[in-house]
Amino acid sequence: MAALLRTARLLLSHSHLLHIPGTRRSVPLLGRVYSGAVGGRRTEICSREISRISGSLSRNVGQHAAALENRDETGVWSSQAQHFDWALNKMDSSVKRTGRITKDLLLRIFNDICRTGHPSGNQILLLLRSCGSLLPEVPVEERNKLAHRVWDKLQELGARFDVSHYNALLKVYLQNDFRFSPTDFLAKMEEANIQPNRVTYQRLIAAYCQTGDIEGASTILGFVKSKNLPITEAVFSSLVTGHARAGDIDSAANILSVMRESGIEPGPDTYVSLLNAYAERGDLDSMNKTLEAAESADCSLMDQNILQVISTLAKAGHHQHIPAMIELLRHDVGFVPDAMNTTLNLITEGHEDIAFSIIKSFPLNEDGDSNTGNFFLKHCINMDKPLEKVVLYCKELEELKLHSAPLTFALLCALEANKTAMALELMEKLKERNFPIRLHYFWPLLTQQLKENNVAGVIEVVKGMEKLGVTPDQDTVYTYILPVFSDIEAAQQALKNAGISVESESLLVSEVRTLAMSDLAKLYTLLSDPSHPSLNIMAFRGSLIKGFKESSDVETMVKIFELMFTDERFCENSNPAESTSYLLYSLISNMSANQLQEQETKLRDFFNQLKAKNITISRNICKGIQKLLESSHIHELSKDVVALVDPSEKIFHGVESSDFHSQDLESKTLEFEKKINELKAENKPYSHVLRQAIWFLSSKKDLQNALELKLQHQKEMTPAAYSILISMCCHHNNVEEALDLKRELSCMDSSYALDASKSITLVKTLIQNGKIEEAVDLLKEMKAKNVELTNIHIDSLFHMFNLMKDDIPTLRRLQETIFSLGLAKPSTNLCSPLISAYLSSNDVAGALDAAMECQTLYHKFPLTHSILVALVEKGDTDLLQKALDFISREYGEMAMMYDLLFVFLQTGRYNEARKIIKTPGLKAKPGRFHWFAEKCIFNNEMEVLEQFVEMTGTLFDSDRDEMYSYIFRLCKETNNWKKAEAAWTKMQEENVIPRERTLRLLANILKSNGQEVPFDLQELWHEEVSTAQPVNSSSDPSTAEVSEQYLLSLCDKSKDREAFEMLKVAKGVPLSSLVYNKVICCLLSKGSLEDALAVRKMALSRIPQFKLNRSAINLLIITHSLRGCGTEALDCMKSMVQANFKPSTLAINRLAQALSKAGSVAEIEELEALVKTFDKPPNLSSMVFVNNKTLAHINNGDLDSAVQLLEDIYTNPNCSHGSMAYVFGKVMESGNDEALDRLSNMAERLINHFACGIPAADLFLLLVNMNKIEEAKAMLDRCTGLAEERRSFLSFVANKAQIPGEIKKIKNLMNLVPDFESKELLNSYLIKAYTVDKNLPMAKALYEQMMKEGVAVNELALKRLALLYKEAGEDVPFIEPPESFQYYAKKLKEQVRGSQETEAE
Amino acid sequence: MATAPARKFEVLVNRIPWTAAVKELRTYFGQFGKIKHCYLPFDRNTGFHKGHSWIVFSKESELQSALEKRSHILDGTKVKLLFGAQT
Repeated sequence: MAALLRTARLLLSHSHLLHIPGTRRSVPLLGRVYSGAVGGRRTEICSREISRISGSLSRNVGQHAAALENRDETGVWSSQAQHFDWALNKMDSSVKRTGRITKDLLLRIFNDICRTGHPSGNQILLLLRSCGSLLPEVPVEERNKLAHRVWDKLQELGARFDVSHYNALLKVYLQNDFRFSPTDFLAKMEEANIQPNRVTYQRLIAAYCQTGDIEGASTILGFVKSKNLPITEAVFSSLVTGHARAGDIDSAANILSVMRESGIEPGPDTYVSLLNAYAERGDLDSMNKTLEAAESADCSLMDQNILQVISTLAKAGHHQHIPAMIELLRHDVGFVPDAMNTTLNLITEGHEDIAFSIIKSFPLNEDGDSNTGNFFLKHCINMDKPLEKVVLYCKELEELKLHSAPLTFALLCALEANKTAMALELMEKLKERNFPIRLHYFWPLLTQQLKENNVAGVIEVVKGMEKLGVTPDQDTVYTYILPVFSDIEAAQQALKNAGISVESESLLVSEVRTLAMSDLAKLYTLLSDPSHPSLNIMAFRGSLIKGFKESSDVETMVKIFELMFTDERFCENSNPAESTSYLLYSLISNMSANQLQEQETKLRDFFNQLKAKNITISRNICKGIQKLLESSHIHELSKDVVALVDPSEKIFHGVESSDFHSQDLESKTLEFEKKINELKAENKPYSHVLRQAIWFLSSKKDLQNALELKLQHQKEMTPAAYSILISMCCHHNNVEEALDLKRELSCMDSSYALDASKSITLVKTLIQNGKIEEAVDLLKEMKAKNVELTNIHIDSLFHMFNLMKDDIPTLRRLQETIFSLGLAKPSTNLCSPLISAYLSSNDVAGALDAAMECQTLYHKFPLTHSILVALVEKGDTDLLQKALDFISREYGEMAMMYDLLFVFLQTGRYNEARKIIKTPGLKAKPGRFHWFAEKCIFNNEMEVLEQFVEMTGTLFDSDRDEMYSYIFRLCKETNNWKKAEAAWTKMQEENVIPRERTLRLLANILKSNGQEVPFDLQELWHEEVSTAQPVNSSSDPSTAEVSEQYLLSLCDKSKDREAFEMLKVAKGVPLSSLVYNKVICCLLSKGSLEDALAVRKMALSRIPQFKLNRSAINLLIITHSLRGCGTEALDCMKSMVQANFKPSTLAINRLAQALSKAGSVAEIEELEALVKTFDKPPNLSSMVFVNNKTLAHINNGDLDSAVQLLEDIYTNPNCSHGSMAYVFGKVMESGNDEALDRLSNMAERLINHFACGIPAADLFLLLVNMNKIEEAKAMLDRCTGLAEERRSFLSFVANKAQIPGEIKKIKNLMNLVPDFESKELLNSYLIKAYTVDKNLPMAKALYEQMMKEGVAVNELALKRLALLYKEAGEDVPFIEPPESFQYYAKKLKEQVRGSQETEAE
Repeated sequence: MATAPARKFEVLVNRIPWTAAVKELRTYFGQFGKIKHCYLPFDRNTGFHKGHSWIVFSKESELQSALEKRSHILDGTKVKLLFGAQT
């Protein structure tokens, strides 16, 4: 984000040629400055008046997380907020890459924002902010016009401006060198009742100074002083410019000492102002002296500062000094975007030669792929710089090896800009240099002429082609030349008249194509003539298909096919029969379902006649065609296609129909004993029943009986049964029994390996019982048997290590064993328990040694920050030096710098930290900064955080909004609104555009402290509901003033009735489309369809071209759908798509549901086809259409089709298989038992015979959800693979854990299918569910049980648990994990994903 | 969408420079074997191609030898070959 938000600094005083004679003296001013400066920027924010209100930190964190989640709620404003983020990101990435925003992009976003309706505060800021120096390609006059256009248009749209907007406008004025009257500006603000703030005054002073009006500046300065506002460096540097422009360079230079006397050290901004002042005079000596002074004041200037000075010199005409300045460029981080911005601006202002001299100083690209100067060439072309100059630049770029193909690139630019003459000339130059001139180079030019329907233009380009020795081929003639003429003859004539000869073949193809679409019989005559030259079928395939589709002359069609099939003239390089069968396929695939249905008879006739002519197709093609036909429900035709298959190829067509109706499965009984005895009596093996019995007992936690059972039936014990028993013993902490069982198991089958979870559980149990040797042996065995650990297991290792803090030697031994065996990769996380063990025993040297050892062995350096902080606090400089040298050697100096920065900040050594920030090449590291800021917020370290945010302001790529939002978050935690307000002013000063969420956060802080929110913020819908006021009597429509503003605000407050009534009486008042749309949306959101339609009628009668906007159509579709008017809704959607609006996912869903309710399969298919036409598919489940089509069939009573449809999907390996729980749910809801029977039979068939368990799992979970436990159990018995559907189960658990009171269902599932996931994961969901239920006693019990069983509790669960404790006012009996909820949630998600991936492998 | 009949030896070429068209693609990839089909879509709105192309070889071995080559340079620009993405 940084780039966009950072450029504030770029915009210091601008240089002027304007000279104001220095007659006015400014003695009183200096006096003011002496007494007026109340301190520098730094002292101002370092103030220690932070009132620390200790609140429940984690609760606030939780609220914040909840607020973030709430953003997902649907609503116009939240979608606007998303749109804003999109726009901001887009513009920001543009600035970051290129140092600028293009006018196109800005206008597009401007129009978008206008179209979506009510612009929000930060959108306005974003737009205004972009009308200044971020548009270097646009002349300043145009930029000012644009700014005013944006301002006026937004005002018209009902935007409410606040002080930040006025400040942004001022900044744009300053950047664009716009002359205006500051007093008028202030008056305008007063009129709008906006209070100017420190930043406003600062910029007004700058405005006076730009014109050299010191008197004006000092008037404002008087204001500043009287209001007791601080005078900052920005004011002083403006004054430097002011004095210089007033012609008094000595006073300008003197400002620096005045500053020092008032306690502010001049920074880069001030030095640059002075440099610019000298540059305007062309005084190189003084410039050098100033540079030296800056250097010696330890204030090094950055490349962007030097670039500004170069611009000043260029504009003042002192070009002779520029090379000296260019030499000073260091090409630091961020140089390229800054240099691009400067060069483009120079070109715009007519100084392209100077721009080029900057380009020439660019460093060479190392990796050979050189294209430096692309943007330069492009802008030169766009600005119509003389071609000769461009060619010279190209030559030089190539010679300097800055660009590998500049001339070709210049041609591309000319083509893109549709500059025909320039493009042709450039091609001439390329040709002179022996570059090939290719035919398609002309296509962009021709395309443009075609679009404009410009015959002369086309002829001109064709002439150019001829001149360059390029002949248009068939495609070019047909696609890019002919369409501009009325017919072929006219084209031929016109070209002939222009003296252009076109190859006969090109015209021939055009003729064939035209005939194919108009007269097949004539085409056949033409083609079958043996004298007809050969012609690749690809050249006219498309036209032929079109012609076939429209023709009913089957006989001729067959004849043409036969010709293609046998004659080699029509295929190039391949077998004619093969390309003909492709033609057949393309024909079918080009027809829509409707067309196929309509033409079924014709097609059958066609296929049969082909067969009669002995035309054959391959089996693959046949399959493809069958698929197409089936998807259009024309199964009948399949037979006819199959008949065409080459008899030499054996075919299997259709679905094999055996095995579909499986025999009924014998229901199994849970009375294991009986069964075992039966089998035993029959002398049959019964180990599988035994295992099931043990498993069952395990789920009941009945270790005793399980062991007994084992003793009774020792001989039938299988390894799997042993492993269940071992795991049980571990859970009961019965280590001896577990070891015995393990030994028995090894005797029985030494190659059998316990799975990873069970092994780790056993290792843990062993360690807890002091059996270290056994644990190590087991680990070795795991390695030998290739047991693979997933991230979840590794996490439990981490917890195990953490529990061993008191026994460092053992911890070390285990860690080493695991790493050296390669069971787990050494990670920073896994290494850290050892380090923290040392740190908590206060052995910093030991910690450092251990960490260094980790680094040497595993290249991981755990807990760097904690170690360094401990060292700094201890004051052990030798060890610190050692640590830093080590880190620097291993990770590079830069990485060490960040570590050191955080350590200095953490320990309050700000001056040292600031020195670190100045390290050249240091740039923002969002990940590391986030980590540190979160740490500050968590530990309530406002001062550290403020210092951190302020210091990083000058860093390249620093996301300023993000940084400030950390401050706001901490302000929210501590309820410190004053601090928050000060931070907001500073954001304006830095020209930072806050994101919506930042403003919302700030507004919350202010509101909750009873402060007025000084900016406009759209309310979210869900917030409105809670704050909705009873209808106010004063808003009687007859008396209230009808205005757009008022209507919009009524809509914002969901007062739909009032808005509607007001519209009815407001006949004479002109209102914009926006207002009507908003009222319609408002009415629709309350379900008032008729009234909404009445408003639309009203709008149409007053604004004839009135159109519904996207939100309104979406709501209209939804409302129609909810009322069961699917056809109307579908029509709405069609017209919406035609108007290039993309319907929302919700609208599509609701419509599909309405159509399925009406049983309209065809309309759902139509909708599906419509959705597929979108460029970007909406975020829609793949099953939406399948499910709704199925339901539609069911609603039509056509169960066969429903089952068929689902079976096709689930047995097709190429389809993605989603959940059909929705179908089951609807069927159950409607009580359609017949359908339910058929569907559940199908689900069981799919899982038992096709290994596709999703439908069965859906049904099973639905039963669990409805508490039909017996039925669920029966199903589990019938479907053997059902217990494997872990993914479905887990998502069920995850879902239920969020809903209060649903924990019973999770437990039911866990009882039905024990251990389908690791205990840790399941328990953590249980903890979540308890938290949601606010059930501390149960959560406590679970936690204690987990501790007893040695099951690891993940951090997220701990965090939740801690919250629960705190809310109940109890002490948390463990150390609460320090990071945020989000952090742990993300971490957990990655782990789960990681483990799924390993499993998939 | 129904898929076309098995186009087995097909590769998707990405990041094709604007200067190269079908002819250049056929010439370049012809070094690996016989090109059965080469489709390079052009944008009717701009007259430039869209930067990607599907190339079908006639034999698997030809496709393999194209894929085995580490980098493919067309008009001085590195193009990217994508194969086997089951989309």
